[in-house]
Amino acid sequence: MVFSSVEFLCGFLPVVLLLYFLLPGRRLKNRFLLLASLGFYAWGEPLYVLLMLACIAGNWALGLLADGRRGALPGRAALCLMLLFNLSLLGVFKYAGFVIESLNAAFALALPVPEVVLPIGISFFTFQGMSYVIDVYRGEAKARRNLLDVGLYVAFFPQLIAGPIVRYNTIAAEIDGRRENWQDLCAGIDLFIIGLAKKMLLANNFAIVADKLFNAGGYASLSVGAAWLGAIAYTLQIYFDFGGYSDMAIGLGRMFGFHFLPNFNYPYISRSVTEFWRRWHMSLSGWFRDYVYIPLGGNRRGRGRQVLNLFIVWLLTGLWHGANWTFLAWGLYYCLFLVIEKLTGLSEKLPKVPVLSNLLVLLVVICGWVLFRAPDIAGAGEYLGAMFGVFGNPLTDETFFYQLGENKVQLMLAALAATPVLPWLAKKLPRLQTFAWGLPFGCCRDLFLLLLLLLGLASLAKGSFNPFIYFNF
Amino acid sequence: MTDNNAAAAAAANTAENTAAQPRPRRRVFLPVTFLLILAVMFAGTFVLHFPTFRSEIGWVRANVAGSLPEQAEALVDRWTADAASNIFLQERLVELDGLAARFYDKHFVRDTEYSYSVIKDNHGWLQFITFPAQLREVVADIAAYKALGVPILYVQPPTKYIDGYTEFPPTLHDQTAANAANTKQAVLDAGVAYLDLREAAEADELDKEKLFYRTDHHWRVETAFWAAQQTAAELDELFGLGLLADPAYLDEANWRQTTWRQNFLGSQGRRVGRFYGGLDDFTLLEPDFATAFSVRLWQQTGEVTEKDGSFADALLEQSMLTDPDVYTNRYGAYWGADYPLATADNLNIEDGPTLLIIKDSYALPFGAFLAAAADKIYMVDLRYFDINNLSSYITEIAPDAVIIMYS
Repeated sequence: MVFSSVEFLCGFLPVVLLLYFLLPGRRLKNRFLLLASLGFYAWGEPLYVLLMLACIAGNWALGLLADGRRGALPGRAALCLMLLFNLSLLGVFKYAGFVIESLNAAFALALPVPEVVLPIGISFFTFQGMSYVIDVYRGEAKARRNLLDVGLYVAFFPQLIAGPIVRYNTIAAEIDGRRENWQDLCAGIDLFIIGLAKKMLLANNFAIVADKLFNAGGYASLSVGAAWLGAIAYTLQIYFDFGGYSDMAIGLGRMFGFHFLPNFNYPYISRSVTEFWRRWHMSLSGWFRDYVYIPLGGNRRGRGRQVLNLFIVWLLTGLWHGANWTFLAWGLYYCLFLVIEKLTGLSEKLPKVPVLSNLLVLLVVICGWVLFRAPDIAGAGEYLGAMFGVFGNPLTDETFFYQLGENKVQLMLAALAATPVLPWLAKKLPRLQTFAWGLPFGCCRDLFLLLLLLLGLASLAKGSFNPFIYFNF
Repeated sequence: MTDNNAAAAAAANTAENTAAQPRPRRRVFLPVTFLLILAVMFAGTFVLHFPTFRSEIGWVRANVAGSLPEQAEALVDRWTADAASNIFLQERLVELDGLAARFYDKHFVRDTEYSYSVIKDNHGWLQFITFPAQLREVVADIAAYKALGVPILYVQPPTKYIDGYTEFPPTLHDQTAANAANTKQAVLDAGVAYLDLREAAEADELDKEKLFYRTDHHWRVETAFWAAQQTAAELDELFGLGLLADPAYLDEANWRQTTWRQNFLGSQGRRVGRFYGGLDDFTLLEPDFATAFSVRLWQQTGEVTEKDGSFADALLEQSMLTDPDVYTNRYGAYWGADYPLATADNLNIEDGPTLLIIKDSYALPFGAFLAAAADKIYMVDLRYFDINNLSSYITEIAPDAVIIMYS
């Protein structure tokens, strides 16, 4: 079940909201949310819901073992077992096929390739399970005696299948201590509508363009303009798809009184690659920073070790995104730029040259997305070649002009939505600020959001092209 | 002023300023509207159609063998499909989406079923894209039907995608002309007579703008009437049938036109709503002379409906004309629908020509108009009529000519 589906918007969500707010008491509400979340997951994965339950149970038990035992042998053992347990799940269900295929290709073997269906959201719920045990081990939160509470943390439906990766220590207190209120409900609804609009009105549109150009193959025959348009379309698709989903997830959490940390902060206005990764998928980069990079020593053990640590983190980041060489290459691609920035100090110097640095970062990011989207490394190379006219392909062609014309309005809207222009306007224009207490600004805002909601529902009814990208992670 | 007095004054000042500023209002409109919309969508989509969802459980139990998870998965798939097709106010929401597509200046509106994606061509007409198609079975076997000894005329109607006139986005390659060319070649190779109404329309300098509905894939009723005239003339010339022995029957001067303005949203328009491509006028042509027909309509269930009376009573389905909803398929007013088999016996013509029309929906008005000039019309729709029975049926009814017409 996805948030932008009929069964969720018109079925699951209204029923869950109604029953949740009718139920008395925190415990009953929490149990209901857990049950609803398991139902949400089972809707798409009737068998793998058991796998998720096993993941919850395993991490809960290891959390109990690790609680209050930082530095002690049982605590360290729990940590090791936790890593073995969760990484084994990922290894079997996500990477086994890739590893075997790669070994077969590299050493001309004929090992049988296991055909394992990837459980939706496995990368998210295993990482949350690991976060729970690590935070408990570090003493940043207490272990939960009740398995069902850990179940709620791991399986809570807003962030279950596509994030954000909620760190346990950020919401531990809210499992029992949250207080739902009208303000949070309103803020949650706002965010949900914005996320839905990003997904249905922007991401889905750019998906059509990107798919048209990336799925055709024969990239060498694309014009330079068409190749760039396809790459930009995918750049926008992935941002509005994932960012939109995150907004919806955070909005939904807010409706139930949970305050998840933001996952995106206008990443495409970044002036360095370092800044980009502080704005893009912040929950993932934060997870790797706090649980891998810093424990490895971060930048506190000399330049050489820092480079090695970055390499490990970005290798893992690439792998996390998928079992394919393109994702690995993509991770190492960013590693390269981050190392360059850190070793040369560019991460501090670049922001001083705003427009140029922004364009440079966008160039790096767009090319990175080509690597991410292409079917394989060779395809990525060919596509990038087309973007830079390496094959003597023409600058423009019919396809470029058609796609540009067909998407001109949405490109302009996307440019607006990908930058903080609207919030900036709301702050800077004094009249709007003054009227913020009264009717006009609020009225305009609510009508605008209502329009976005109706357009999102309209797009849903039309049954437009709808799958979420980050489902596959 | 002492510090305490200053502090008190400052506090009072702040309190006065705060009191002077209006307090932020508690938001009600959007959150309440959002929750109401969810509630209404839930009620309209699931509660109203609850029996459908409940019946799926029985269907899965009866038809899906396998483990419980497999049955659960099948049930979820069916519920998901049911939810998508029963979404409350779907037509109104699709219209809003169409309005948005118009705002975005889209010329291609993608559909979940790609073949139903709608293209707005260079004249603002709505089109479906035609993909490469295999020869129809009846065309591939046309030599065998010719061998039955009944004269056959293959009629190629005008196409909505007109080569040299219609332009699609450069990434879309319509195969209408290519498919028609393949069919023509097969027909001619079999030595069967072929009437190309595309060429006839060019020769008669028909206004291309008025051949088809803007929002429907069918030709206009007026075009179908002209096609009936052309076909009757061709049949008379080729086979001496005498359809135009009394030319009054197919003289447009003897047919009454009734036009409803902006009241028809065609098949393509229904995929995108009225705001994207507009509405069509619909013109009904009825004979202005006395008529009497005996019509038989074979349903897909095998049930036969009998309608006797004038052209209006027997060959028109009035509900498709009188229903004010623009989504009503006005084009289906002739005969009412596509049936596996339909017959019309013209009680005012004795010993006149009998025709068998092997058809798709293009023949609905076309066949009705020919029925006014013929003794008997048989209409067979091979989407619902078993083609294995066609030869025996032709032999059984022994028509004076067979018309094969596909869009």
